[in-house]
This record gives sequence, C-alpha cells and structure tokens, in this order.
Amino acid sequence: MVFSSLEFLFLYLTVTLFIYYIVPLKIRNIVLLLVSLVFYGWGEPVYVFLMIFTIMVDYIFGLLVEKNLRQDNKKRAKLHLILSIVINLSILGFFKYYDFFVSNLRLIPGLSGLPLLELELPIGISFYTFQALSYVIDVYRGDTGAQHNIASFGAYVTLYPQLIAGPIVRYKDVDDQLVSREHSVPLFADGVRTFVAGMGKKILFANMAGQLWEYFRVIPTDQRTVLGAWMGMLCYSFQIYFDFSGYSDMAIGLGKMIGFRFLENFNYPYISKSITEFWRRWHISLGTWFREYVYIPLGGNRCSKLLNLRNIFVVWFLTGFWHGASWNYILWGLYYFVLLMIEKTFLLDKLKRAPAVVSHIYTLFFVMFGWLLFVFEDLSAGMVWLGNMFGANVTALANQGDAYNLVRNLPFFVILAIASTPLPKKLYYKLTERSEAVKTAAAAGTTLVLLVCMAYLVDSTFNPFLYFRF
Amino acid sequence: MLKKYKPSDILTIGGVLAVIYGFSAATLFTPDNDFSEDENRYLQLKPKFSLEALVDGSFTSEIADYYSDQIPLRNIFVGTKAISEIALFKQENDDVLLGSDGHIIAKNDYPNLSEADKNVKAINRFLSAMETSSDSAFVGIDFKVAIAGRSQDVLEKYMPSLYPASERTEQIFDYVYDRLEAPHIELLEPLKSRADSGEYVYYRTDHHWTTLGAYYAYVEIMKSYGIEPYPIDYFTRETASEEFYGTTWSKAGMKWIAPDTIEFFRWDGDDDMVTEIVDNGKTLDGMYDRSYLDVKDKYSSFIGGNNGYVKIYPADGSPLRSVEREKLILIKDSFGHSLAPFLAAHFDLEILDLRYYKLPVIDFVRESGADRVLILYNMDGLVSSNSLAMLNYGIKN
Repeated sequence: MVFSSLEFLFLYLTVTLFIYYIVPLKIRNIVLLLVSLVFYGWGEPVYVFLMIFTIMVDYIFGLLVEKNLRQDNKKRAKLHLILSIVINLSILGFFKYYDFFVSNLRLIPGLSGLPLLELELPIGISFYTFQALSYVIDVYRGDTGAQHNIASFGAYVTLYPQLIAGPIVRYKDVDDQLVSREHSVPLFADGVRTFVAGMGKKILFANMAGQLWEYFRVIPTDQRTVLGAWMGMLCYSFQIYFDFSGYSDMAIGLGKMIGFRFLENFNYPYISKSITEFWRRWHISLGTWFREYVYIPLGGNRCSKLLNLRNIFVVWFLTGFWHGASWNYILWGLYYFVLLMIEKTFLLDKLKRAPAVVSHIYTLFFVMFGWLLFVFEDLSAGMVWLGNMFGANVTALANQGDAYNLVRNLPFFVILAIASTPLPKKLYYKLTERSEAVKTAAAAGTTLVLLVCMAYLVDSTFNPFLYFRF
Repeated sequence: MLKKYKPSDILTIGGVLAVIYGFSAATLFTPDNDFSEDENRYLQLKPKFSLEALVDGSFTSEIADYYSDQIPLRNIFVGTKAISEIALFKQENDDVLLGSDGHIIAKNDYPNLSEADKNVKAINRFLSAMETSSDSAFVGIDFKVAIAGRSQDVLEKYMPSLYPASERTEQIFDYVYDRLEAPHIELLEPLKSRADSGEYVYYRTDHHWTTLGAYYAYVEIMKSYGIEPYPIDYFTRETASEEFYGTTWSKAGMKWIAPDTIEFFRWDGDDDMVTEIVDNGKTLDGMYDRSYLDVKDKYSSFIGGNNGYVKIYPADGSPLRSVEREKLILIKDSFGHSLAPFLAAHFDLEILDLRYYKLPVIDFVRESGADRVLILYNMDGLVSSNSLAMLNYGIKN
C-alpha cells in the first residue's frame, strides 16, 4: 500500500487512527506494531513472516549485546553485533542483490546456467534493514539501552509511516519517544498539514511531472530532439525530488499524527550551490546513516589521506548500490564520489567566490546528469539519451511538438521551480505569523489540497474501456 | 474544552478528518453501482474475503478498485481534475486535447508502429494467399484497403495552435502506405479538406466520423470502384439524437463540453433491409437499432454496434430483391458501422469484425462468393492492436 492511494486514506488511515486513539496509552505500541504489520503485508502477505523474523533477531541480539556489555564482555558483545549485522545484510543481500550477483556471474563462461530467483522485493527492506542495524549498533556503542519490550521494538522497526520510503530513523533518535510521546492537538494539526503538503507534492507535482517524463521517454530514438531530451530530464528531476520528498513529508506528517517527531529528510536540495551542499540537503537520513555507521567506523577523516579517500569511496559505492541492484546505481554513486572529490580538492573554494547564479547552474547541471545515470538501468539507453541532449542522433534542435509541450507546460514548470525553493514556506510563515485569520484560511486550504489530490487520485483510476462488454 | 486550542489547528484537523471519515463512510454505506456507462465497464463491488484471495493478492487489489470505483461524487472528482489541468494552461487532460469550437480530440503521439507493421503484414499475406491460390473462388475478387484518419489526423483546424498534428499524421500514414502491398483508397485527405472547410465530418466528442463523414468516405470508395455514388441530396437526413456524448468525452473529464448530434442518412427502401447479427441470431428491421439511442453508447445504433459477423441484405418482398446485386465483404472496425448503410444501397454486405470473429477469414471469403473485399480500419485500430492478425488464421505456408 502507498500513502497516495484512496484505500490508504479511506480504509487504512481512518481505521488505524481510530483504533490508535481509543486504546489506552499503554498498549498503543502494540497497536502500532499490529497495524504496521498489516500495512507491510498488504501487498505481499507472506513477507510478514520475514518481518517478524527480522524483529525477533534484532530484538534478541540487542538484548544479548546489552547483557554482554553489562558483564564487561566486550568481545562477546562485538561477536553478537557482527552476527546480527551479518544476518541483516544477508537477508537484504539475498532478496535485493542475489539476482544482480548471479546475472553478473553468468557472464563468466561455465557459469551461465546459474538460475535467477526473480523474487519480489519485500517493500521497504532497504529502509527497515538499515533501521534495525542502527539499533544494534547504537546499543553496542552504548548510545542507548536495549529495548526490552518487544512490542515497542517491533513498532520501531515496522513503524508504517517510514517503513517503505524512509526517512531512516536512527534508534537513538526515537528511543525515548517509543516509551512516552506527546499526543497533542497542535502536533496533530502540524502532522495533518505536513501530510497533506507531502501528498500534494507527490500527487499533483511528482505524478504529473512523471507523466510528462514518460511522454518524452517513449519518443522513438529516431524522432528525438535536443530540446525534448532536456525537457525530459528536467521533468524527471522534478519528479524524483517531489516524489521522494513528498513521500518523506507524508511519513513525517503521519508520524506527528501519532506523536512521533522524525528528523527532516530533505531541505530544498535544488537550491544548493555545490554538490557537497546538495548531499547535505538530499535524503539527509541516508547520508547521516552512512556517515555514522560506515564512514566514521572506517576511520572517517581522522586517518591518512589515502585511507580517508578509501573511506569516502566506500561510502559512495555503497550509497549507489543501496539505491538498486544494478550497475547504473553504482556508477551514479561513484559519479558523486568523483564530483565530491573534485570539489573537496579545489572547486568548492572557487564556487564560494563565484557568482551565485554560476554555482546554482553548475550544481543543477551535474545533479541532472546524475539523474540520467540513475533513471536508465540500461546504461546504453542512458548514453543515447545523453547524446541526444548534446545533439547526437537527433532530428533537430527542437521541433513543433517541443514548442507545444514547452509552452503548455511552462506555468507548471514555473510552479515546480518555485515549489523547489523555500519561498512558499517562507511566504506561509510570513502571512500567518501576524494574523490568525490568515492561518484559519490556510487551514481551509489544507482541506482543499486534500480534495484536489483526491480528484487526481480518482482520475488516475478512471479508465474508460470501450470494448469491455465482450 | 476546545477553546484553549487555536482555531486554525482545529479547522485543519476537523476539515481533513471530516473529508476522510466522511468519504470513507459514504463509500461504505451508500449503495454500490455495478456498471459505469461513462467508462463502459463493470465496477468493483465489495470484495469478499478469503484466505486464498488474501495470499494471492487479489483481495487487497480488489479493495483498491472498490474505493476508486465506488467513491461518491466520482464524476465530480474527475471533472475537477480536468478543470485544474486546463486552468494550468496544459491544453489537454488524460491525453485528450481541448480544441476549439467545442472539440475534444484524443491524441496518441507516438503509437507503437510495430502493431501497424504486423497488421499490414497480415493484410499483405492475406492478399498474396488469395492471389497465389489455385482455387478459382478467389479469381476476380476486388481487394482494397481503406484507412480512415483518427480525429487527431483530420481535425487539425480545431487543434491547439502549436500542436504538430500534420507532422505526426504524415509519418504514420507514410509508414503504413510504404509497407502496404494491396491497393488503398485514400480517405484521409478528402475528409480532412472537408473538416478544414468547417464541415461536421468527425464528432466533437467521439473518435468516430459523423454520418456525413461516412458519406464522404462512401463517395471515395464508390469512385475507386468506378460506380457512381448517390449524391448527398438523394438521402433524407434524420436527426437521431442531439445528446450524444462520445468516448472522447468520457475519457477527457471535461464535463462542460456540449454533446454531438447523430444523424441517420436515410434512403428509399432502407427500411426493407435486414440486418442479421449472426453472432446471436438477432435481426433488425432496417439498419438501425434505435434502442441504443436511449443509452450512452448511441453510436452502436448503427447496424447494432460491435458484433463479429453481421449480414445486411434486402428483405423478402423488397424491390431490391429482384435486382442483381454484388456481394461485398467488409472487414472493419467500428468506423464501418456508420458506413455500412451507404454501402448497403449498392451491395449485399457480409461484415466481419476481427476483434470478435474468430474463424478463418480465408475460408469465409472462399465460400462466400463475394465480388469485393474491403478492409476498412481507422488508423487507431491499425496501430493499437493486432486484430488483423486473424486474417492469417487458416492460411497455410
């Protein structure tokens, strides 16, 4: 199930909110665990058992690690930590990467007969595995105690708001919220606003930009134009940002509605003036996770330059690989490794002194090329598209169809561009801080956005079928 | 108790919860509709739970369908989305262009031409099977192909100003004609020039040609046969309905667009024709099933709509019975429905729709004693599905 669906709004959310708020505080975590398991199992019920297994494993290892630390048996604690990491990564590796490894091994003569499994990827496995890992590691490091209540721990791992697309919540950031959290009207209202805003980003912006990207993507290779290729990448860049950040906002909003405060995951990445800054603003929870649990344990920058370079390389290789089991994602990660290294060596200083417009264009330009690597799992198709953007294998610089699509989508593009900046939010605060009346009007606006989102959702399922009766 | 909270917070929460709980309850507790006329499909009713359905995922996907199909005010939501897209100057919604003068035009800019390729190859193979056959039944049969334009090919005059209609039309028609080995009857240009001069040849809200458009197509077909077509004033034009909301209207969500008018071009004695729907054994007196004029799908009043095999011939006692008439096999998509009454003025018709007729066509032609075979498709039918592949069923080698 996804948040941007009618059955989520009208069945899941209504029922679970109702149950959550009528049961006593004491059993709310149990309720949360149960409803999250329903959410998780909605598309693929058998994987609920996998989830329960993961919860059990990490729950037990968390307790073991804590017990051994108390008995001052650091070695044993470490052993248990390593075991839990191995188990978690094995599950992730098996479901997500098995076919990738095998299909590469099959290129070796004599191994071409290795079978592929073609398993359905358990939803959110990349996210919740990282959350579960952070828990055992935090316990090992003494940053937090183990969670003795299995329902509370299960609720942390499966927590449906961020289960399938993050943000990746570190255990130490929510451990006290699991025990006691604030359920208040202002927080709930804030959650509703954040949720609806995220839904608008997803449904009104991302999905519509995505439809346009799809339009450009399917243009036959012998009918492409330079302008069309650029517009296509522009649409995809908008789509992925609004999709991902919209989903994070929905998660954060739903979290607030049940008393959780998660950290922000996106901070207007497209206004960055360098790639370094971009990665501080994009998918913040993932960057934090890799820094805390990979980069720093490897030695971070408190080591030789060479080792530091290795550490950064490992982080970006893994960041790429985490996004998908395909070479293009690895390449995408390494592309950022190279860019960041270049910035680190000399470019960052130059960018700071350059006019803002230059550094903005530089950043957006390279981010967009990043998306080109990201979106085409088939690298050769990606290279063809790259060529199209620079005039290779195109019919023209632009054709009439491009003019039509550019003109008719211009207002939409302008809206998307403005929505990628903090301007709307600033404007909202400016208008509402002085007058409660404006704030009340804005509240009506929230309901209106929800209704418009529903119109788009209903429409997307509206499919006239001409010859069905036969 | 509520006083200590800010009104804006209360309103935010109240508004959103009222919407989701309100629609949730209204969906569950109002009677369900089982059929949507607008979409011409059955709607999902409340799913029945079973462990099996849960495990195979059909239960949860039926729930998703249930909410989207049964949500109250569904049409208002669909219309709201169209309005908001048009308000953003997008000029189209759900792949339907908002044209001028109340025209809405379905578009398909980059159709998959591999389907067209397969269809054309099927026609070529059928033709060569007829030509190379040693069977004398095929000798002397006139075999032609006629391809009607889609609305987006014909209604350029009404398209949004920058839309590159003719460019794409040319590409697709060239693609098909370059590959087609059978002789073809040109329908696109004659109808397009009529549309350009403002004649009502394609519906404003439907993908079909109007009866007037079908008349002009009939003229072109008869000319290619070397037979004098009846002039337009030979026919009595009857307004069958002024409330026709077509398929494009259903798709577009643009509820403010006015309906079309359906005409029947009547000729002396057309009431004496029999339309025999072989699929179900029903027959119509004349060539129109007027019961369709009371439902949404009014275009199906022509020869009874979509059927696999339909015959049209003069009834016993009709003066036409005493005249020697040629037999024409019309292999068509739905564009053939409004054309058939014109052709029936000259020919006994055997009409096949390969989307539903699933027997070997080559045997049908061999045994029919036909004089002519006409394949009539609109370009969309040619590029969107491979139904003409059925032509090759039963052809050996």
